[in-house]
Amino acid sequence: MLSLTIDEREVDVKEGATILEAAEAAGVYVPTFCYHKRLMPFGACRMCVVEVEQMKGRLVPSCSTPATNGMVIHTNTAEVRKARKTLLELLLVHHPLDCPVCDKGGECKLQDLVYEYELTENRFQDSKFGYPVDYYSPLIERNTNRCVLCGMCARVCDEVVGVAAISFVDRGFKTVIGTNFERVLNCEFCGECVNICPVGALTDKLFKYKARSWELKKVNTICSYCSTGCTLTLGIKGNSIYRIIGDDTIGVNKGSLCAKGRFGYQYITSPERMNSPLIKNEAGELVRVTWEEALERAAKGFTEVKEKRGAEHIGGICSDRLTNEEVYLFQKFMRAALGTNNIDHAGGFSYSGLLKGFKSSLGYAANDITLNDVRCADVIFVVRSNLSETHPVIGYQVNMAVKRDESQLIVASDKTIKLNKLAAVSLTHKPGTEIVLLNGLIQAIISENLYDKELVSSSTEGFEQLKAKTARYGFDYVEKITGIKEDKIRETARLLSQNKKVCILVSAGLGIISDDEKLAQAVANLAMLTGMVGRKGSGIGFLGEKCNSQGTLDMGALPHLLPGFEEVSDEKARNAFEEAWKTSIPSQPGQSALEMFEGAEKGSINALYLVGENPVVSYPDTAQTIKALESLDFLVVQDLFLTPTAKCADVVLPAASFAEKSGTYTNFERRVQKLNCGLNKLEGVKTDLEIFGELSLKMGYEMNTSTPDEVMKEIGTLVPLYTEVNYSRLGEEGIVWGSPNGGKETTLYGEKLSKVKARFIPVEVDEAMLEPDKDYPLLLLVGSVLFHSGSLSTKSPELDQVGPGGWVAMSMEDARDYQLTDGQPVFVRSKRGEIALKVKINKKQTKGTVFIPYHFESQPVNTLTSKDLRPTFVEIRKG
Amino acid sequence: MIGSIIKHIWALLCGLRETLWYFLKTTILGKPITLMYPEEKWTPYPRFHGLHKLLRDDNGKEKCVACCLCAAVCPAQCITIETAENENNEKYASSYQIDISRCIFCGYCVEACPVGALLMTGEYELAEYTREGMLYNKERLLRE
Repeated sequence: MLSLTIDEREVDVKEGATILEAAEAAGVYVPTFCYHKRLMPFGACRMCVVEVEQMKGRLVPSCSTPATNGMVIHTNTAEVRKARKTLLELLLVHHPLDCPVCDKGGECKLQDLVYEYELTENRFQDSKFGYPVDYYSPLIERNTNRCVLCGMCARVCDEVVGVAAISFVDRGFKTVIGTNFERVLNCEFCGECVNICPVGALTDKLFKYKARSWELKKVNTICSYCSTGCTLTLGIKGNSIYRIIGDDTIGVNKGSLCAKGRFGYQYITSPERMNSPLIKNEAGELVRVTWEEALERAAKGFTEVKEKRGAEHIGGICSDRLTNEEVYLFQKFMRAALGTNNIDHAGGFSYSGLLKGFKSSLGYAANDITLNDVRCADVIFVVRSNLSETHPVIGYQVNMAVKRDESQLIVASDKTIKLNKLAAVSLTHKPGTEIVLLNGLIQAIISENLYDKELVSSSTEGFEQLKAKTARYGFDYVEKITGIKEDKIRETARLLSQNKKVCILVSAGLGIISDDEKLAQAVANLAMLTGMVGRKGSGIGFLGEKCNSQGTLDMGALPHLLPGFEEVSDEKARNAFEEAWKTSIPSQPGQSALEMFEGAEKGSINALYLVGENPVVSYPDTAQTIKALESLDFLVVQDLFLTPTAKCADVVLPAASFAEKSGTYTNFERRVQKLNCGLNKLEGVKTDLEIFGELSLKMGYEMNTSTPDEVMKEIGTLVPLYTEVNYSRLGEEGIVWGSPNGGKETTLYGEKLSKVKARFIPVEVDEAMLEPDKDYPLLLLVGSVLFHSGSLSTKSPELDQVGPGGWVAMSMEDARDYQLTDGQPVFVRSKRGEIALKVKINKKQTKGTVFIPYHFESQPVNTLTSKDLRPTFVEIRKG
Repeated sequence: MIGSIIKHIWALLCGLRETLWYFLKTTILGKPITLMYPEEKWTPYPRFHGLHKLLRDDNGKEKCVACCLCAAVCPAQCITIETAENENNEKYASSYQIDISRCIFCGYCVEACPVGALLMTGEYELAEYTREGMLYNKERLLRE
């Protein structure tokens, strides 16, 4: 510890802190332009100069001068003020002073400091620069004339985001922040540069000239896209969102956001949103009705099916974008009011597939790492995860961990991704062979005796079987299947087993979906073997695709699990719920989402309740999905938009968006965070919570809970994991469930896996599955892209502008073989269907594979896929 | 006793000195200052705070750059502005409205305006038959 005096205040700081950090700790304000705590000290602006008694004769920049013991510092002497004032005068020589029209006006650092230092005239005069303004880049406007050359945008783009799209260009007076060859921006459009710019040189185009900063009400809430759980600050005026910014003092993201979070809010005010319930009339058309009529009809429809066929003929599927409270009420409605266990979410695959495997291996269907663990890890192992696209903010943490703290990154991916640039070891394997690779790693670790013997013998079972089963995954075999050489596997094995803090990151919903469960088990095997689970700062992170992927599992939107991962077949657990809900729950597990669709065709399911789900677009095998929906007696769809699925429904109920409701989301860290309602509901819609309550009442079952707060109280009494979660305790940081010491420690499994029953489950992969057909030679990979999440983001026109649909990505080799050029229209055909797309040649794509994002209604890739979730092979012909 | 009554009356007269002087000045000793409004109109002083006016520059373009400082400073919060971008990438007020029924004519808006786009005229006859009539939109404020 160092102790020093700043402006007569004594302060102790740790070794290595700068004077500025010490001043911050002492509560002394020092003005800066180029300093930001997320970035490395830069010392460009010289605004933070201070006087140090031990360094007489000059002023020192506090942001880049290390503090030493016994320093006596003055931050506000006449000399310091004079230097700062002169600096401001020099900055104002070229600054255009268009504050009245500048969108930064009111929250501009330069403006504030000029006011603070009472600068009314300038001793220096020169003509203004008059650089052309970049009006042409999407989403971000660059006005170099206003720039103060603090370099924060260029640094955040490089140090945090890892793109380096902008940088200093030219020298001396001519220095500007620019792109290469003065092209328009073509980057990730995360807007981090806009957020960090202290002046109005980089501005948000969606917010341009719409409102002044002081008119906006700030509401902190949680992002509704991916499972990172970033805190957004909505800027609200009237009843609409004008912009979204990141506040660097709160949330897991500490102000970092991606393009989806920052710019993808326009769907909330989209004119396409439904504002009235609809029911299908005799002519088969959807007509507007009142809520009373619609709910009456929905209740009648369900009651009819229940009486005629039985409750087990009704199914319900919800989205994992619902809040915890809503998911809880949804499954309560299905189980208590309707009396069926046919409940699932998000197609029943993806995240829940991964965690099913996880639960069988480790006992909990949840991660035990936090975002901070990723940031502080020694080794990060990324398996089948393009996380800089699916979870950009986690990607930023990986980028910072590698670039700043020299963490070792290992990337196992079937194509070259952004993270490969940073990787210490790149394991670019053949598509669909992750499990073979993981088994190979396990074999290497066992054969080299690198595993954590103590943990394996004391806390786990099944090691001998694992050893026997993986013995055949020798280096030669693994190389034959995956294409990864022996030395790389050995190096990876060493890195994973010989470092203290190791994180494995896996994304849900990419690649071959049927492997999800096995992949989870394989990763769990590796993690237990190297002792990384149950060790603080290490662990596995499965990254769900939607904001509440974890919470939806916790709340029991599953056919076989009640809230809190209690088995439906477990009588004791069931009784507790039956007693609280004053009804009986069927003891048989229900059907999963895909089984329900199969059942609909066969007649074992006659009514479906789809909440926020759009199976026609997002479930595999569209033709079968539509057929299943058509053969239902009764279909209720609850959504924001009139989706293709909703068009098939008998009753359509319009729901509220995330900004119009309160509740909680649980992110991938198991952190329960509170949504704060920012907008009044669109007229004519209800929140999902209200709809479940009212519909249940119409069915003759009273829920007794009308607000999210009350629902959470009920959850707290029934679900032990959520006992600690109540609204008064959910601050800005949220609460990580299942963590000891009131949420301070986050090891879910306990020290050395003491809290769970850990089992090694050897996994094998069906290698024949990956053999291409003669007629269909290309493997189809379906997944998500940087600018989209689910099908919701496609309703935001701005995201569509930077991330349009309608393409199929091919490797250069394949494009050459098929004699295709970029942008050429083609037909992609599988055994099940055919769609027309345009070719996008991507040199990072692996030969023999094509990639199509699944988000877009206009390119229904799921007409090609099959419900057995096995790999789909396609052929391409010129259109 | 009488002395004290006289003393009180004298005190009253002293207090009313100015009033009585004006009474005499405008009746017996001089001309009445009452105007026979509306036949006769009062000419306001040059710095009178009357109805606002938005100004145009020499080219006929409106001076307002839609910085919203007038709305920010308005103590009665009677100015509502919506801003947008025009085809020359400039900011302009797509709607500018003063609710004159709420205005207290303090003139802060005029002082706050960085481009001198707002002025207070001598116009004081602001009565209307409807509340809507009291809402002055941009077109009415830009009047010649």
